[in-house]
Amino acid sequence: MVSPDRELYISITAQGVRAPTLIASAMGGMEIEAVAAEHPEEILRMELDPFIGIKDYQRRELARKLGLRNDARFESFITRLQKLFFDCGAQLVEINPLGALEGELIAMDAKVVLDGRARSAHEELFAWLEARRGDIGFETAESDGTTITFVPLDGEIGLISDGAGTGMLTLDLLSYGGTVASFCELGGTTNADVMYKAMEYTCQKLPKSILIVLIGGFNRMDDMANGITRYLREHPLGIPLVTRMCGTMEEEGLRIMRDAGLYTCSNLMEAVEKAAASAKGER
Amino acid sequence: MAILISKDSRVMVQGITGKSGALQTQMMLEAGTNIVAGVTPGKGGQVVHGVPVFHSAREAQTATGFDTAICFVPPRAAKDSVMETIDAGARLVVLPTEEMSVLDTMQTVAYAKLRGAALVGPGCSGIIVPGVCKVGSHPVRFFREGHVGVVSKSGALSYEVGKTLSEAGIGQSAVIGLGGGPIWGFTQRDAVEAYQEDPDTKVIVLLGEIGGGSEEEAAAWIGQHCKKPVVSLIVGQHAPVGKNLGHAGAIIHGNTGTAATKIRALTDAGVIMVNSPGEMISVVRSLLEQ
Repeated sequence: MVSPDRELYISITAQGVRAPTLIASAMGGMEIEAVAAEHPEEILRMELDPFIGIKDYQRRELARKLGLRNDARFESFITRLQKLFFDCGAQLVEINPLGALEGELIAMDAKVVLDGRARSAHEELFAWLEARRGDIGFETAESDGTTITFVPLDGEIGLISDGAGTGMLTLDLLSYGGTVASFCELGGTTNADVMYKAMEYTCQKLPKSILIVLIGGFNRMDDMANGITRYLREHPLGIPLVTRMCGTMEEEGLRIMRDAGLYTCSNLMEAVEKAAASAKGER
Repeated sequence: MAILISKDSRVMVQGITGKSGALQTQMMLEAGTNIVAGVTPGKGGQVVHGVPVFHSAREAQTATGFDTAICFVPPRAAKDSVMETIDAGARLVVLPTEEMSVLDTMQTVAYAKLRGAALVGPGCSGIIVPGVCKVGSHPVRFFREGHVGVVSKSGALSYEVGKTLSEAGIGQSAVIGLGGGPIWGFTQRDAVEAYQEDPDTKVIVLLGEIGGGSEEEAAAWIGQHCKKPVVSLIVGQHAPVGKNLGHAGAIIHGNTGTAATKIRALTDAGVIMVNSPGEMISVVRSLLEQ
């Protein structure tokens, strides 16, 4: 068991920043957020050029802040740290604590977050990690293969939208007069099957009513209507459904909905009020 | 909104022979956009909706002198496509591509900045000047000519607000969709500054979302420099902490990126806050009448 002279903190992150950012502190071995809150002067933050990485003068300042010699060993360590970050398309490479012992640097614990969006450029790496999943604690986020975002909430009205902005607007408007059971946004790829899936996720929560808000320009309303009606044919749940439908192929979409006996309207506020009233059992 | 795009813009479409590229080219032509060239490597010599296609951006520049571009390319090709387009002389690039890796996005945004080119996006709907032209995917049906300059991260939210304004008889000088983030080539601050310079814009509408600090950054600029009235609606006020609501940038971490901090920053800068599109209509109408 190695006992270092000092425990440091170092990371390079792409999370919540505009450019790759190196964060370092001589106060390692504890939660960096706590250090930032209580001893902000102990944290060094440096923006790295996203093409060049760390520059010589930055490395000099970093060594001084960490109380380390800016020698060949330090340069080699920093080079390898940023190579890991840039070459693997990482979102975060964090070593905490970084042990310093007689001039040696030892990574005593580390965390690496990879960018799932960069996966296709790093298939071999992901495959290598997946093969060692049990040994190294490799986790991947679940994906259903679509671009759907689904967030379960605590309320009564299931919400589906074809745009994150209109989804969030409707979430706010609903929250003034009701409560939201789930937030579902279709994402970049929209077709009848995606809408079907969105209905599936939303209905699983058995909300008191469902509000669907559609406006996306290249989202076809006939596709949306087909997805909705097919789901309801196969799963007649009797949950009141309000749909605000406008955009491409609007007439055809509305016709399909009308033929299935489903309520539609073109005004957002009207749709919100109707969905809230339906959840309360009003007509 | 001639400072960004106009009838005189000479627009090149990267990826013009692809499904999106071809369809969007047709839509932009119908909206009045002056598309002078398209680029798809290997497809030079073809013609798409009357637009000549070239093998490279450089060849397109030599033949047509484009100054503006839009890139319909998949995520892995996007960075290279933007760099090629800027190297060939584009002063403004719109990038609708979603799902780019974070590092690619950072490098692409940094490259545009270094070269002095404006980059809108990634993952954006682009720019529309109603009745004049568009470089992007805004459906023209929701918009009409007028004097309100709209900026939004979300494309769909800009359509919603555009539709509401248009139905109330209030037209737009331009509508800019910036993309869902969390990194933006063109920010809300950049857009407000552009609207401040634009002689056709009398009132600015800033549509914001939870997550990140771009509304706060815009508020700081507005407080110091903006002479035109600004009205703002922030969505996601009832979003739960820590959950991403469909935009990579729309997520609250702890105390940062909340609707409350944005509303406070904007209010302190003299921005008028509203809570719904309906409320926005009456505020904007009264500001235009002044």
